[in-house]
Amino acid sequence: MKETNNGMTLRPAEAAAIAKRAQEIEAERFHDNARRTDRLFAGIMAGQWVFGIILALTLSPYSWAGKTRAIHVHVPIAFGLGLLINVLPFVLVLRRPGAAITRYAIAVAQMLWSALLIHLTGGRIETHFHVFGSLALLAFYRDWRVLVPATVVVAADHLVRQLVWPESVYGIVTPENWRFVEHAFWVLFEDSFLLVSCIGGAKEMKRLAEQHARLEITEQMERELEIATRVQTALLPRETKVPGLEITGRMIPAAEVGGDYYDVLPTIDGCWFGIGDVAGHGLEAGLVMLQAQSAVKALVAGRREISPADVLAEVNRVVYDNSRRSSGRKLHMTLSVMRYWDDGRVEIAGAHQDVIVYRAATGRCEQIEARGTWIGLVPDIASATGTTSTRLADGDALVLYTDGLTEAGAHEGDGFGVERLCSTIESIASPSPERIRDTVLDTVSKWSANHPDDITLVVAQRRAEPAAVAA
Amino acid sequence: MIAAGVWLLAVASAMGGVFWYAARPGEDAPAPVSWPDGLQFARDRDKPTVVMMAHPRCSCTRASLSELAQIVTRAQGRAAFHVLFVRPEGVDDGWTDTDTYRRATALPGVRVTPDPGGVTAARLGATTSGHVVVYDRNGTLRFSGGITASRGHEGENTGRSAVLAVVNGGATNDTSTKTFGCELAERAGIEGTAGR
Repeated sequence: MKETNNGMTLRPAEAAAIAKRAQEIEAERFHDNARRTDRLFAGIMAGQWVFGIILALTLSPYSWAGKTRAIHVHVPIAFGLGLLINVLPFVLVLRRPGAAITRYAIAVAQMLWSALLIHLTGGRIETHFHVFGSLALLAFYRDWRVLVPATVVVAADHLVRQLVWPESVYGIVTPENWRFVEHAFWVLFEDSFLLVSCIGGAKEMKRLAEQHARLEITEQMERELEIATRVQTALLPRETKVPGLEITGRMIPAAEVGGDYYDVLPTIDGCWFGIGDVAGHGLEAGLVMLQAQSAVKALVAGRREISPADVLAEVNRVVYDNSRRSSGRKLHMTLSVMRYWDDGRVEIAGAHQDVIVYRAATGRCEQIEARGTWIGLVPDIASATGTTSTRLADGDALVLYTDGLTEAGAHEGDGFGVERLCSTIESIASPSPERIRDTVLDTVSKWSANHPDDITLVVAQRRAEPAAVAA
Repeated sequence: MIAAGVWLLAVASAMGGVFWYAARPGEDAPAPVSWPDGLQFARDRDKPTVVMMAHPRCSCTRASLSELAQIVTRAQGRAAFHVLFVRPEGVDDGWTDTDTYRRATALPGVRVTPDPGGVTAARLGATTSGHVVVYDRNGTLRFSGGITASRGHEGENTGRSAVLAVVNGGATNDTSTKTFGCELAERAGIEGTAGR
């Protein structure tokens, strides 16, 4: 697990998403920079072409033989050779902007321009600075590899001319062998600094891309989280009146929505309880929860004969089908469905946490095993779903909870646990639903201040007189 | 990749052609081994005399003048320097109104002289602009040729080193070099066409 800038916890999948997005952003920015630099060089090369022609027309417009003149060969050279040097870079900038071949061709062409301009200016030492200026400009690509063809062109020019016509580059007929190395050294000297600059620039680009990706993914997570939180809180029962039961419930969302769900659905002879926890978090978990809540509500509406096990089987079918249609992923959840009749009978089905029943007569808690399997993993769970029954006497209380409560503190050491939950309830004198709720939640928060998962607690206590209780 | 290869080959060939052209020297006649009598100016009898023959409108000669400027600076008065600007017959007074001519006149210690009809240049064996001859104080030819490495290119070169060696009283094995520049006069039979 990693943490984002705003403290949100990153799961491996999210960290991978950030890494993938960072690579995309880095590639986009590198490509954008390459395209921008391609255009810059296209402009520079067009300018060099015009400059070369002006140089030729200004410095050497004519050659002479006595008083007879002719157009100096520099003029057609500046026009024709300049155009020839530019043609490939221009075509590549237009047809393959940002491509590696384009910047390599530009690097070669730019060095050829150095040679041509040096020639057109009569080998002036000042024009040799064009080589070093061009290398620095090529570093704009932030790709050290582009310096290689440029350097090779300079080195090859000097090497070939040293072998074939040494006077043209060194001014003497028999230069020392190391003269080539001396000239190459100064180019490599600049290259070494540009190399460091290019690598540093690329690293900076990578770092910024990672920051940008982290921000993007985090914002996306936050937006999803906000929607998921709205979905989750919108599903909670607002006010429930069930004859013969005092009901209270509270859900404390974690920093990220953990996918907890509970519901209370009154009927004419009692009510239905549903409590569950969607695996995963965020918007997808919220949508699964919404499907389950809607399915349970629709199934129990007006169907007195339906059993909790039947409800679970149908909910499973809905969640299973929908999750495959929408995302193709196996989204799943734990879910227990309970039917309460006003004579105190309770029927429980599903594989959520064990149900705790506080017995007023003994002041002790009983744990009733929840039997069943995950919702949404397989198409049919009828055979895997078990049903257990109990009966609530006056003062007895059903205590329903999610694993966020019993596992509170587990990430730091010991979890709160079911046994501690029972002993906490048993320690309460004259327990009422509100007192059980407040005492348990207070004890849990003292046990562990941080809770990475939602905490849900529902308490329903049987009373001789009906009562209305706010959730 | 094929297009890039073809392009590179074409550019390399064109570049080769450019350098080949730049390496084409002019054709000079041998300079007289002794200072000729009756030239329009006399040689210096106390120190070597360096004479450059130039075409005032030849762009390549700018480089030759740059090299001469270096020699003048390093010679520190140990030689007499002359630049003869050939003036063909029939040209107007503006013939020498060029930056090359002005630059030569701006060189300290260099005497600039017009050479009507190129008579003096011809007597000194020069047919290409930028040709330099060096005679010692005894009037013996010590060097004849160009002082640039190629057509219109500045930079260290054999001619410059040889002239400096003679001027400074040293010896040199390079008594002649190729000269790169425009033709000082139309060659017979080709008047009206371009020179180099």
